[in-house]
Amino acid sequence: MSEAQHGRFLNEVYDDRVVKAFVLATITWGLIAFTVGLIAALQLAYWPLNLNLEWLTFGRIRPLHTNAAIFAFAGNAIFAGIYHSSQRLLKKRMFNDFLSWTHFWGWQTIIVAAAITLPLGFTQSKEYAELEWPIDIAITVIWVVFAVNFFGTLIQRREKHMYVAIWFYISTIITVAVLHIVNSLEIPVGMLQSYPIWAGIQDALVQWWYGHNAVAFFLTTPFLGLMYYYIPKASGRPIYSYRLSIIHFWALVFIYIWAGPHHLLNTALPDWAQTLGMVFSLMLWAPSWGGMINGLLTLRGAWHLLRTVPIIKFLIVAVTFYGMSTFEGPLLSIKSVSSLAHYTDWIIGHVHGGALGWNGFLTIGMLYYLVPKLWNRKLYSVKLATTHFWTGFTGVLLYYISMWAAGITQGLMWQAIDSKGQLVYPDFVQTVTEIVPLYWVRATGGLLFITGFCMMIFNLWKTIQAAPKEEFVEHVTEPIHPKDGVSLDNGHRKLEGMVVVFSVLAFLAIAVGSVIEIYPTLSIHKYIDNQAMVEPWTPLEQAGRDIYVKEGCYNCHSQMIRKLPFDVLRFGKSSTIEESMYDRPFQWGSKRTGPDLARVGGKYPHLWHFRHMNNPRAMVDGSIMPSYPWLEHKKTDFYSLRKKFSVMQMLGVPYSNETVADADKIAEEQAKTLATALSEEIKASGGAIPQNLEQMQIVALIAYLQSLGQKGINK
Amino acid sequence: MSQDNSNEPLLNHEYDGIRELDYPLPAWWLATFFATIIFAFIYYIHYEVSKAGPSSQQELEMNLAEVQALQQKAQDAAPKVSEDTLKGLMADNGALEAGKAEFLAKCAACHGQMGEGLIGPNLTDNAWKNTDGTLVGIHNIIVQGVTDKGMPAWKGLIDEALIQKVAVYIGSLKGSTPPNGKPAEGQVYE
Ligand code: HEC
Ligand code: HEC
Repeated sequence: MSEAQHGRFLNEVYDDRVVKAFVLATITWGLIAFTVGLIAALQLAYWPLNLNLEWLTFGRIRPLHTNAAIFAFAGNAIFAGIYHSSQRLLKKRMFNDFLSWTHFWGWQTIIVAAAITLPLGFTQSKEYAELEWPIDIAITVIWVVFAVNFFGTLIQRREKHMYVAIWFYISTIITVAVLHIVNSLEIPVGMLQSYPIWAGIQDALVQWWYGHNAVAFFLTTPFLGLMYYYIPKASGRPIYSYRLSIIHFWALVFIYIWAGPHHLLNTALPDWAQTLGMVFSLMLWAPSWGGMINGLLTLRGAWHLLRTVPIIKFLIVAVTFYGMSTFEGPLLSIKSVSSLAHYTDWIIGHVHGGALGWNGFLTIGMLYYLVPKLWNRKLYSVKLATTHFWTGFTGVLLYYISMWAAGITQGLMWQAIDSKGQLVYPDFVQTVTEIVPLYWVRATGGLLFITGFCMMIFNLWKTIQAAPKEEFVEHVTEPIHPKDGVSLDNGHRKLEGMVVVFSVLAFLAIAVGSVIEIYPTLSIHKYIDNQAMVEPWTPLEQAGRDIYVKEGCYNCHSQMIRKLPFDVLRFGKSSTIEESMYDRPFQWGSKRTGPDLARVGGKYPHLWHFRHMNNPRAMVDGSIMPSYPWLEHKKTDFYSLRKKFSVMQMLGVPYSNETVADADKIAEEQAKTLATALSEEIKASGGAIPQNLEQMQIVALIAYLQSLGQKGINK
Repeated sequence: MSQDNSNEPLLNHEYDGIRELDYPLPAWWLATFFATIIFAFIYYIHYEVSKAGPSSQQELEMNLAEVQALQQKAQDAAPKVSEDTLKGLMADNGALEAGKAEFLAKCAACHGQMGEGLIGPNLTDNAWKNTDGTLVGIHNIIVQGVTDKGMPAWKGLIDEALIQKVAVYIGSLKGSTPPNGKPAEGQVYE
């Protein structure tokens, strides 16, 4: 750099304390997130581990696991890496220490709030966006703090150009803000409850635009940024291709945002949106592999490191898993492949190839690099790190392969139609018990991964313990404002010196796809067939629906019969847009651990549901669904229904003013009628009738279940 | 950078010691990228613009028609049930055993282990709500269900031959008066 030769000089001290804090948080939350994941895995293998406790049932534990893994583990890892690498790449201490620490403590507080509210059942039931509105607001505030801190640093940088890692950080910060805010537009109906402004297909589309791009811009772009810093640093090799960096960066951010609808293939979502989702997912393959190529080929001429340095092992295998997942993703987005894989454990395997293999291993590699650097002490044991690698790697493979096998097995069983035109496996539960052994294999894989992680914790702990007492502070002597030098740049190189223009372009790149896909569904009525209208939920049904959401039934049940013959044979007529047009939140679901419930209404007598919810095994041998005995003695919240219905009315659900004003009374009336009928059935069968049955949650839930698929006006 | 590859296309970029090479884009990579883009356009135009390909609704209807044709064929081929053929089965112990096993697997949750009635009515008495109690009547109610009263239609879920055995097994329970029997419902048929 020619600028380095003149100008005034300043001693720049990096803020590594906050990096250390994020490193320790990553490790702590990682252990918790993985352990909760293991519990969830075991609950599917062995249902009694739901422990008949509402806080610990699968429906509440799974969101806790996903949120902890994504936002607590991966989130803190991203922040650690971004704070560490950005200061060095920009030759500038973070903009403002107070903001750094507000970011740190704010984020940890959000995580603790999540860890408390999710098991208590406060949830919006939108995957990876379950947290309720006060926490949503806190996330927005803290993200803005982070953004100000980051862009402040960027503006004051002492390096003229921004390295590719920084590009990825920029697009991450901008896009996550947009995704989070749009998907969280909701109206509170209580201290910890809200309804989204979006309904039905709108909500589905926005949610999966968000959900998919949470993967893209929370678990991919920032990690690619980290890859671009830590692989060359750890290997001492230059990045393979600058040109490839440019092309794959812009292609990735532009194309990724469109791919969300691949989560909704063969559903009631309009065809054009499904097709867009599919073709953009296919186009995403090469840009994703661009990142993998640049990561792997950076090691050209230094492959021996792969054998000797555990950090390199972790980083390179992480990039390989990234390549695998980003090949599998487009594959799964092909409509016919999706018809086999969607709702099965194949998707769970796919996610974990990414989460454990890519995010997990990249983070672990980074931690092994960072801790010795930050604490200025050699790693305690390289051998143990190598053992960690092989243990963890075996764990990921077991996980991946078992879920692959489980998903394909179950998918094929669902599809199988014999020569008489009948389902070969009409009993849903049969397709579940078939794969339970594979759930044990998966849990073993998870256990191995955690075991490896514990080895790392021990290794890093010993390293930190042996660190020199006086704190190690890294600093560089740099000229002031070298970026003011005469510019001879052109093309993209010029852009790399222009923070604002670059950021605006990055924003536009994601805005195009977002607007084109979401805007048309804003006027949902374009897609509604007046001949197929449905009635909105009655107050009692809505109360039951809120219980369904609270218990997290959507974690195991879909409410979306796809336009596929075997879905129709098994569950009835394919679901229509109209049938969920008033649903806030939508409950289409993404996983069928249990059967689809879109048309379960009227399929069974009340008493069947009553006994089934109390103990599913009483009705269905081999069921792995948790028992919900507390529904029989916990009271339904009738009181809040008026408030809820006034919000619904405001959002455009056609409730009359009388219905809103008397919502609670109407619900109580219906509950009484249902409870009377149910009591008679219980009495005839010789069972015990719970006291004040009409006030209990089970009645509201049964009312909801019995109304599913029964709302069509011309039914 | 301690590499001796002096002919590498090294750029003069440097960030915290990180250097960048500038190798051209791999040809196979570019080819893949262009191929997916071209495919995307063709596919989208085929299905969504020119509508030359079927919509997902049309595709579903075609697939369902195929399934229905299979079902129709199977139904035409199936032997017609009559009171006599079913009475004949009644003498077949193997058939009764198979019927019982299926009953325990699929029906006992609602009708009790011995058909004494639980969620659904008692099947061992001579009172019936939806049928006249003949074997053919029982058979038909199993096939069609009473779907608005919570009795599933078993057509398609249980093979026709097996449904006949279950019907016969239920016929064999008549008058067995198991303990805790649910009171009779419906009309009495002798
Ligand atoms: C761990 C996953 C899991 C969770 C969570 C779960 N279920 Fe299930 N559910 C199943 C499985 C598996 C079956 C199939 C076996 C059976 O019928 O019990 C099932 C079956 C059902 C059925 C019968 C459907 C049919 O057509 O036969 C209903 C109704 C049902 N569940 C309702 C619920 C409700 C309501 C909740 C939330 C309170 C819930 N489930 C939570 C796994 C789950
Ligand atoms: C989900 C619970 C349930 C299951 C499972 C079930 N039934 Fe039923 N069944 C009922 C109910 C409820 C009725 C009564 C319907 C009515 O009120 O008319 C009934 C009625 C019947 C009747 C007619 C009784 C009458 O009085 O008219 C027959 C026969 C019968 N079931 C046979 C079976 C057989 C055979 C199976 C297993 C293949 C079976 N059921 C499985 C709930 C069930």
